[in-house]
Amino acid sequence: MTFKLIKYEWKAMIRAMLPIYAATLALAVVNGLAINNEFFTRAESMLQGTFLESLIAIFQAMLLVVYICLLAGLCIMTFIVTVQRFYKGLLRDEGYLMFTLPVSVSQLTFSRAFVAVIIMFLSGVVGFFAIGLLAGMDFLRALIMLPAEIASAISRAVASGELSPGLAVHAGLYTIELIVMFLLGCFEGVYGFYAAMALGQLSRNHKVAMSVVWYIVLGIVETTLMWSLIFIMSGPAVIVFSSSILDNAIISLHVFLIVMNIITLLLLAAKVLITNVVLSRRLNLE
Amino acid sequence: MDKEIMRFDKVTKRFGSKTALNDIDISIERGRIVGLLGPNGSGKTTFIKLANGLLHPDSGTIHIDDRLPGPETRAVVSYLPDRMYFADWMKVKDLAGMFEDFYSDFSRQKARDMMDKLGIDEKDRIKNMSKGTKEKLQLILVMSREAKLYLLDEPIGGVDPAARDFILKTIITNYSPESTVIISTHLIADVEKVLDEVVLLKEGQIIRRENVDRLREEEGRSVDQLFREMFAQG
Repeated sequence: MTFKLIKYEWKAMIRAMLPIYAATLALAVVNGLAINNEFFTRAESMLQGTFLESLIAIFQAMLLVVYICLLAGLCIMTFIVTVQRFYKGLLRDEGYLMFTLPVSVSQLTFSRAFVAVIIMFLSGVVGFFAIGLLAGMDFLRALIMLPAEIASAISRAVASGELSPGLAVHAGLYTIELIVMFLLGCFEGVYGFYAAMALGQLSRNHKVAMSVVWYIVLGIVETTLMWSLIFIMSGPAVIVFSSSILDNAIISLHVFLIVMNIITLLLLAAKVLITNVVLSRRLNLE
Repeated sequence: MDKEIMRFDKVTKRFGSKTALNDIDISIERGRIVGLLGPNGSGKTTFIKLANGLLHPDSGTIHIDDRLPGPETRAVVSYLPDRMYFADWMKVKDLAGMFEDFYSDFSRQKARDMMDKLGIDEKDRIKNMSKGTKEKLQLILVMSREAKLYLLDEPIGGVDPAARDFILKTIITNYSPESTVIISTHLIADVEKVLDEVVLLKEGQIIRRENVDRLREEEGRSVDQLFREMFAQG
């Protein structure tokens, strides 16, 4: 059932995002061509000092402004679609369909969060390509060459003894820890919105305004807890980090990443719990 | 198999200081068409929302097909809310596909046959449909399930008389005899002819429950007339 929910959520979200993905990439290609293409630069030099040159310059500036607006719009749309799909899809009229499907509340919220995280990742990829494509074809060439370059750099480092097999293992573990941190962070961020909206819908009136208030309240609680934790742990942490066992920058970084992942996991668990319990026990559809 | 499909035991539901349902005890058998009647604000919608798990009681327990409301009971309950629950971006085929995916008792062919009669194409976009067509489509999807319990909240509220006939005909011809249909409405004259029994609600309490034929016989008038007298204002 979760997979089926994901399928419908994906359809709903991707159709909202596709136009802005397409427009951003198209504008990036056009801008990349306008900046880097030999034809345009030659035409510009030929028309130097003429009215047409200023016209082309204005046109290029406008293209660039639209491109920057689209890049900003990409971030804003990702946020809006994430929030709107939850609010409109679960807490408004569509909720009458979704909450009467033979699925649990946790399946409903997870499927939405899962697709939202994929959309965030896709928006990141589109943004990366949109920025890179400004450099024109060189960017694509560099991108194609990148895996081979990395592989050869690693093999060179191993051959020269700069990168020991032990260090390679640590590098692999760092990568895993960072990926886990990224995923947990994304889910924690998404469930932060969900928890605020779940609490906000409890209000009889002004549900949207109350969701914003709850988001701020949850943020304050989270920050207070984090700083309290850091304050409490700072004493033992100094002892642990300065002890002989962890007297090693490589291990210390692992400890740091794992502790951060545990904290993010706890925050995520709290937000998932708030969202699911409130929607299970206190759903307040209009 | 238990004879009853639904049971409320001392169920109370409050919204703030207002008591929407107060200490309700009721058991409804399988194979009945029951009218849940009462004026606006009497607790009909709350009753239906509690039965399908959209709301939780403040006290008391609810059993649907011998289970507490949850994903398992939603698999056997077909619910028609008093509003449109479609996402505008969907086409009819998306929605029918969704019902087919989630409800094992949904018959796509049955839905297609009913849609053909109304000239609704599966490729039609929902946002281009009129309000009346959307309401009919919603009813078609709900009644294309072989559910054990149909909960229909104001199915004929806000539609023209011709549409009312279509809706009632759709309900009568599509529910299976072992199923129970609960129809909540305040437009009694139109539904009276299809009901086996009526439950009258007033200010969150059941004030009368009766077999429709017996009620007519005892009172010597239609349920609609009786309702008008009972709930006359002023």
